[in-house]
Amino acid sequence: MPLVEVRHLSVDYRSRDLPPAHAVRDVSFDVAEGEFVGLLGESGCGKSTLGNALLRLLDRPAHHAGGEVRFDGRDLYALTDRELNRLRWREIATVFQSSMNALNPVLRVERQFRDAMEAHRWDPRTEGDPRERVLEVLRDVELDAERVLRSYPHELSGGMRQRVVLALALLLRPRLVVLDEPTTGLDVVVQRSIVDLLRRLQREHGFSVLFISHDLGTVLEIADRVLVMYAGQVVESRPSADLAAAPLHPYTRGLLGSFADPRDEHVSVTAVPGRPPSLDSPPAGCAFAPRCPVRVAACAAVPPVLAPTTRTGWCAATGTPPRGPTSRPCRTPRRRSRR
Amino acid sequence: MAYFARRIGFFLLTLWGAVTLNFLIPRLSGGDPAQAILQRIAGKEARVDPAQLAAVRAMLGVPDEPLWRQYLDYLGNMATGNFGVSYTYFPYSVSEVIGEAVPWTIVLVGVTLVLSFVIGTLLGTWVAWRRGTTFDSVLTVTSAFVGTLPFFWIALVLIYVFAITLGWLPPSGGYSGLMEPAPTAAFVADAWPYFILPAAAIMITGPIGWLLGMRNNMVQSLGEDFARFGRAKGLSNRRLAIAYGARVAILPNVTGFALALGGLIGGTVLVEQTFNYPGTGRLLLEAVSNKDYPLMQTIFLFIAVGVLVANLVADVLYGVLDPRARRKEAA
Repeated sequence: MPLVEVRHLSVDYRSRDLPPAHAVRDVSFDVAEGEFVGLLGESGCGKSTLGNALLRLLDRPAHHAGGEVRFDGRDLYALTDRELNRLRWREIATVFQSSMNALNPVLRVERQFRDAMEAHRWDPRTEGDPRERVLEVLRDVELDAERVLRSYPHELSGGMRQRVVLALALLLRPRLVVLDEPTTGLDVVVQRSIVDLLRRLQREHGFSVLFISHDLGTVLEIADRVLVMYAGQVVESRPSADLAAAPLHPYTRGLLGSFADPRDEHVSVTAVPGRPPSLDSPPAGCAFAPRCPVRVAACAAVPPVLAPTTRTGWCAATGTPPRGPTSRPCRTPRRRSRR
Repeated sequence: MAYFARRIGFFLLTLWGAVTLNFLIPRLSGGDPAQAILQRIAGKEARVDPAQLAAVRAMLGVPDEPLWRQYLDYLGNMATGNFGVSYTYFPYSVSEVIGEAVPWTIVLVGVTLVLSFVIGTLLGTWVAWRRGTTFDSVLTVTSAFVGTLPFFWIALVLIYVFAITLGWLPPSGGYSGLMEPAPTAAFVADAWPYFILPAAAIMITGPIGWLLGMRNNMVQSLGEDFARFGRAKGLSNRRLAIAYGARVAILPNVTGFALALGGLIGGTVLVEQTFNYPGTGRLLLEAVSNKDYPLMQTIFLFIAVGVLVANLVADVLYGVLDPRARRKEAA
């Protein structure tokens, strides 16, 4: 059984005067134990909302509009607050988008570690000395533990704060860590070191990761598998190597086209023309159809279904004219020509 | 530590400035206090007898020394609490007059201020924690509305209802006048009914500023990433509300409170005037309308010192409560 099973998850942003915006629409995917999953998408595609929904951290006006998030078999949305609090951090930890501000400015770092341990009743008899554990996890993220613990957050640099947050996330040895754009606001060198650190720690400790990002290069490099999200839906889910080699969905192809490798001598960047649809009235058919270079008439009417393309990959796109009431799996151009 | 040393240094400097201005301004403004006293006694148009003038001058002590000498004497007087003689309450000294009024104001304004702050802050915390609920909307809107009511109107309604119509409480004054003010249980028993109406009038609007301030700050701090992060950490609601919400949100309120304490000595002129309450606020009004310069000057000096001390306290408190403030100063 996979560690996380997301089934038909939908999230709406509701407001009194406006129609609801469907930020996440009928999303299903799994995260296996020890798997490093990247969630890729442009701003506003709903990837952070999906991350929050996975943590059951939706704040108004966001509402869980249907579907399940099963963690180790337990439906998160069926838990009581108390059960949820017990599960949080012990099993699911998170690093936020702007974790620069994720630390309480008026408490020393040490206090914030103790907070998490106290909230989850760290038991020194079975789990060891709490301070030792804090030092260990700070050394894991390559920080001068003693100094950092005595500091207030504002006394640390952005990169150090990021490492502190990462250490906090790993403190109770969670099974899943959701990282939402964890390197936003940091310079490239620091981003690099944090991404490397994360990958190393994930290999050493074997926790599962959902890594949310708009940075195609990083995601393809770091993740085992990539989910591509467009307009609130997952449109492609495949191992990163496969995805990088042969993107299936026209949107993914567009993304890869807009990704320039600086080492290339002849860089030709093609952006994806057009803009994502409005989320309060998504089109009846394929959300990407208006921008799609290979669309056919049926695309506007028939919603695509995420369907297996290879043994490991799933893709949702009509791509070629649908045969039946549901769309059929899309094909790579290469495969089409072979047929 | 540098932060606190700097604050104290700044305090001493401004204190010296305020005291010196208090010395200079009356000397720059001209006029003859002896003349003023006699004119008050004799009436505006009356001719003043030069002998009388000389006598009053001798009594007040005419400054015939050089300015720097006067200044040193003045500083000595300030330090020893010798503020001269009140014109209005002649022959009582300013110290005596103020000394009688100060306890009244400290009790009335002090008690209501502390209560307002505590009630407002607690309610604000509670409302912020339940933000977005009907309870929040009702309390916030009601407070904002009540907060706009003019104070004198509230006071007059209270007087009309509880003092005049129902006759439960005395409409004005500070005590019955049957006893001399003294810190005894018997006198407190005599005075406390006089305390209720002005205190109630202050308390109706008093907590509102603190409540709304606290609510808004806390709603904001609860929306910050660190509060969401705290929630993701699985912290209890209690820990979250106190250490991640209120603890951060209370900072501006604490500064506000310290500053309000500084203004305490000025009393609330309006309250004391409306209820004819024998505190420093009414005394100040009286001093101004009677051109009682020594009294006025001393009350102003007290207010200035109060505000300065309050600023110092606020800065020190802020430094203790917000580690970031200490850092910014050093940078």
